Amino acid sequence: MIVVRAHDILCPFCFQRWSTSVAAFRCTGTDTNRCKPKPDEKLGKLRGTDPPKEAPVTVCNGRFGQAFTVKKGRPVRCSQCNAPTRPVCPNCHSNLPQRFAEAPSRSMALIGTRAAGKTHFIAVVLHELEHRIGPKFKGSLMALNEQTRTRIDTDFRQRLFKDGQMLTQTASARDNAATREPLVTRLSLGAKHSNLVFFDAAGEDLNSLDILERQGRYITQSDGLILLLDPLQIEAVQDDLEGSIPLPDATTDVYMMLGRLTVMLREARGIPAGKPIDVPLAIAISKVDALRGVLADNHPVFTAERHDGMFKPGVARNISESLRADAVGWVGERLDSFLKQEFTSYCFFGVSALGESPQGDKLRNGISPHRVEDPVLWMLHQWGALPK
Amino acid sequence: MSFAQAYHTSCREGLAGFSGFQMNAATPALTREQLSSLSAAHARYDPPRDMPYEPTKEEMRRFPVALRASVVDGVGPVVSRTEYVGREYRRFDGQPDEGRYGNYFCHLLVGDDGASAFDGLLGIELWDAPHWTTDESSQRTLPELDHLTPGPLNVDAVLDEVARAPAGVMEGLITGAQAALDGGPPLIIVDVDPNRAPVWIAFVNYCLPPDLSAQLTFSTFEGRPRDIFDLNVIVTTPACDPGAGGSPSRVDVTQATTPSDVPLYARVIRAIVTDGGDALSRAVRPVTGRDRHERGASLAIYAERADLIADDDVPVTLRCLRDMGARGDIERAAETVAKLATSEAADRAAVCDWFELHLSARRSAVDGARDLAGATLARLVPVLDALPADARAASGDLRAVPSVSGLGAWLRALEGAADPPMRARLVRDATRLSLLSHNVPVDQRVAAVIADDLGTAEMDAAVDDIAGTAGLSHIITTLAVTLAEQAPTSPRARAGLVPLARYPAAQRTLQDRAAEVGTFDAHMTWQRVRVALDPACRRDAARALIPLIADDGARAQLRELWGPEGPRTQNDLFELVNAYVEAGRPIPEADKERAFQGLMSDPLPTKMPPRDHIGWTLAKLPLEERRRPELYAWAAYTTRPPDRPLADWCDRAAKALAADERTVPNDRWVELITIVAKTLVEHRRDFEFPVAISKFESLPDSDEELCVRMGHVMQEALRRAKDPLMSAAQEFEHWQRQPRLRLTELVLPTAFERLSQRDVEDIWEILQTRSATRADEWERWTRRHPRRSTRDKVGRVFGRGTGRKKGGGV
Repeated sequence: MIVVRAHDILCPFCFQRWSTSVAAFRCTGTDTNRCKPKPDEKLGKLRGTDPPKEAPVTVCNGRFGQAFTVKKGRPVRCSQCNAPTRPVCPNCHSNLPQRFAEAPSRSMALIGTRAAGKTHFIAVVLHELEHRIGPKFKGSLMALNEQTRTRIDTDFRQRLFKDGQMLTQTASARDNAATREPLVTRLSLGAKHSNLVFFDAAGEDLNSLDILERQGRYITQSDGLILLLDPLQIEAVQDDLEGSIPLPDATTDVYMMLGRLTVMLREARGIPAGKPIDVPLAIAISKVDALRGVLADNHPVFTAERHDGMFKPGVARNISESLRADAVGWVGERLDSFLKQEFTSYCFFGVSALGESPQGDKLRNGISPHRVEDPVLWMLHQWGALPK
Repeated sequence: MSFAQAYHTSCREGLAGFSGFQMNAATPALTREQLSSLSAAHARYDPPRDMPYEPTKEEMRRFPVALRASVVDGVGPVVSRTEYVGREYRRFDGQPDEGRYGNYFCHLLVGDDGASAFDGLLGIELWDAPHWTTDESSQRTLPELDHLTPGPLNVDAVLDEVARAPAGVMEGLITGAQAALDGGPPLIIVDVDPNRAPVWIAFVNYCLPPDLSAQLTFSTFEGRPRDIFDLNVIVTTPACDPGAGGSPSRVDVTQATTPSDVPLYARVIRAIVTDGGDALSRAVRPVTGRDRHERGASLAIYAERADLIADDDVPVTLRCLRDMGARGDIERAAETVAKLATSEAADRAAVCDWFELHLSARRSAVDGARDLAGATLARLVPVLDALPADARAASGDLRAVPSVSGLGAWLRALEGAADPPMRARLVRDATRLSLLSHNVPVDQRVAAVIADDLGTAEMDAAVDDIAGTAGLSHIITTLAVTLAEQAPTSPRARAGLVPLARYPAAQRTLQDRAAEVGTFDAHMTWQRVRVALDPACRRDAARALIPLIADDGARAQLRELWGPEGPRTQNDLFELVNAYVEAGRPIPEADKERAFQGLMSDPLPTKMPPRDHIGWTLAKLPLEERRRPELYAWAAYTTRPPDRPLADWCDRAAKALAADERTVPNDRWVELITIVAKTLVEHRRDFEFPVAISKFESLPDSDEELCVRMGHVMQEALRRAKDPLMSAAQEFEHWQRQPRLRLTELVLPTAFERLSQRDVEDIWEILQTRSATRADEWERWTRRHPRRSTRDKVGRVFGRGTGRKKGGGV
């Protein structure tokens, strides 16, 4: 007999944790006479609307954290009409991805300045994990819900990989439900299974503390943070590159963004000042392909070996040290001290999702990513989710 | 009135202070929080997936426009128009736009909180209105709009377009929108042609009553319709539609469907939509209702399409009609009920609703209430048996009387009912529904029906209900009159009057009627009831009736006061006779004969009988009727001398003694002769004694018996005397002076039977001292009547008790 201990699950919609000792299931029957829809207060609260009329939810309690586990030959049926059910979050009644409670969930929030390449980064990382990194680690990546599958297949793969078109800008999470929607996948590497939940964000949202507080709950509740820095928006880099490539006109104060982030994390997690935040922070410097003229040709970010089939901490450390030194040079010494003071673990990465700067909105040579998987693998390593 | 406005787009400069999506400009009256709420609720655009990634200006015109209307918390009613504009940084100086694609321009307009939020225009009527723009503002502030001009939408054009839609679309639109308004999921309309989106929305708007139409929230385009929860109606394109199978909240306007169950509202709209916009507007304007079912019923009523109301719609229709009646529009309610073509099974299922509607009509005083009450009653009658027993009785101030048609329906049902229990139930229902006492002919017919069944447990209970209901006493009255009229010829009516007479109203009616009509039958009916209630008043009842008797039939009926067979007991008969006598009317011969016979059935009085004894009554008969041995015998004690002259008394006693055995039975004869003997002995010294005693001489054999009994009386008297011998001597002297020696010879032997020889001698000596002649006579007499032996005396003693009459004695 396999005994599974109860573990906490983070709902990717309401960001509340609950124990797998409790499970909730919504009736999927269509006979509204037998099973009348009734106002779902919890779902209405999540959506910010009047309680929608939905099929009733049955709550189960299971021993050993097995409440969500379907017993052989005894699927969970609606207590009223005996129709099949689907699992939902006990707190907000959102539909949970399939088999979501079976493996530990790790959520990664991606933050960064506007036009830093966050959406492109996620799109390419998911593609790489599914098609290249996964197989090399004897594993696979699988989308756990329809929304994720649709977004990967329709928005990312078709547009980016097949049509070579740049992705459109991301709307604010406040205005667009799609932005608030997580990308939920299961990464299986050897015997290790992890639910990876990615949260994209609009750059504008990170400029507004108001939006961050209201819509950015996923950031404070995530198990890891990937801060994507667009070096082309840094004045020092722009000075070095001026005239060689088209540069964005927006610039962002990195310290202001990091400051807002740390304040929010400390408040949300109740971490007192003076104690570092124990959430791994991957500082990914994006668009490194555009820095070939700025960084040395033998910079580790260009020359270090790849993590093929095994994560190599030494390589990551080497690259991180080099990039940290570069970043300090670009934005000042206090970046280093700030990170040491505020975060338990952090690491610098150099990534390029597209591999080259687009011409207009098109990619001339298709997608050729560079070390885009490094922050995710480091994060998995930090969590102990990589096979040894 | 003026309207605040705001622009939201991705731009380099706006109210946020950074580049990207933000409020580009806004009316200063809008606060930061309001702007934040506005952008959260309205500013979004997800392009259809089948549109180009990098559209040209020409291609962008094919992108659907999202006209949204909703109420934003903290702001009020808002209508916005969102259009896809391509790149994030637009140039207005003739240079190409810059930045990434995915930008949109949202123009927001804030309406007034009042009923007329947008100058009296519906949100959808602002489609293509001239004030909309997609140009960013170079200024951060926008002026308020003073006036709104509607777009080109036209009701009739909308209706024409919808009429051309495939089958089922119209019904789907109306049903889905109403479900959404009632708290259901948003209605998602899928149309390949985004330019028709306002048509569908407008159609839904025009089909709703004004208050609901103003509440309808919508969007003419959403790229992710399944993620929208706060709007009622959403239009999208097939490329954005994830498909929902047969979900009731989705309508593909290009696909014909055959919905199995089209709600009433949609059926009515389908029926009236061809009449044009004005007709539609008139029909929906007064529609009310808490949900789509009630609104459907309301629409069917106001559109005068009661013919479309199906069985399932009956309960909700009735509730609507009740509300309508409460608002005073009762004539329309009555017309609707009259046109309802639903089945009896539906009426049965909704019997409580019918009942409530009927009551509401009855409580109304406005014109038409009578018709509604009648119409509802006509529907209610066939299903009254389904009305729960605990249904509230029609109480309170019922002002409206059901129309004749309604009452007629009930009356026909009552008169046509198959059996008494069913009729009784209908009567009880009529009491519950307060159908009685509104129409005299109806009440009379009801009374006739009740009269037929009175006496059955069910109908008696129904009459109990009537009697217990205030204001229905006249039904009891009518019933009493009806039965009273039938009573002379109908035993059932007479039987029915008995239970009815429990009610004071019935008693008063019968009594008054008897007094008014004055006939024997009327009085007989009343008195019969009276006696049934209190048998002790038979005599009074009979006394009241006897003066009215005109024939033998009446006499026979009078006798029925004591039961179907007349008086059966002595007392019953005496009551009857008494009544006749007291009324001063001749007693029927048979009853009189029975009375005299009855007089002789009891022992003759030996003390004064009570004043109500039949003997006294008979004694009051006319002279020729009362000259009867029975009465003489009975009166022998009560009229003894000196109340009556001895000779006269003896004459009557002699006649009684002379009567045959059938007239004066043996027992009475013996009693009578004993009385006569005592009386004669008591009055033996009366000067009339010889005459009196002579009255008995004509009695064959009886005189001797009488003498013997007189002897016994004297014997007893002598035994009790203080000086028996002296008394005996005196008696001998007295009897010797009597002219009738035979009598002396018969009386004295018995009187002196107990004298001993010595007594004889002593008496001789006493007589000797008074008269030697008497002493000699005594000696001779004693020789003729020697003392008997002891054996003979014993034999006499035993022989006396045999009671044999006339010669059977000593």
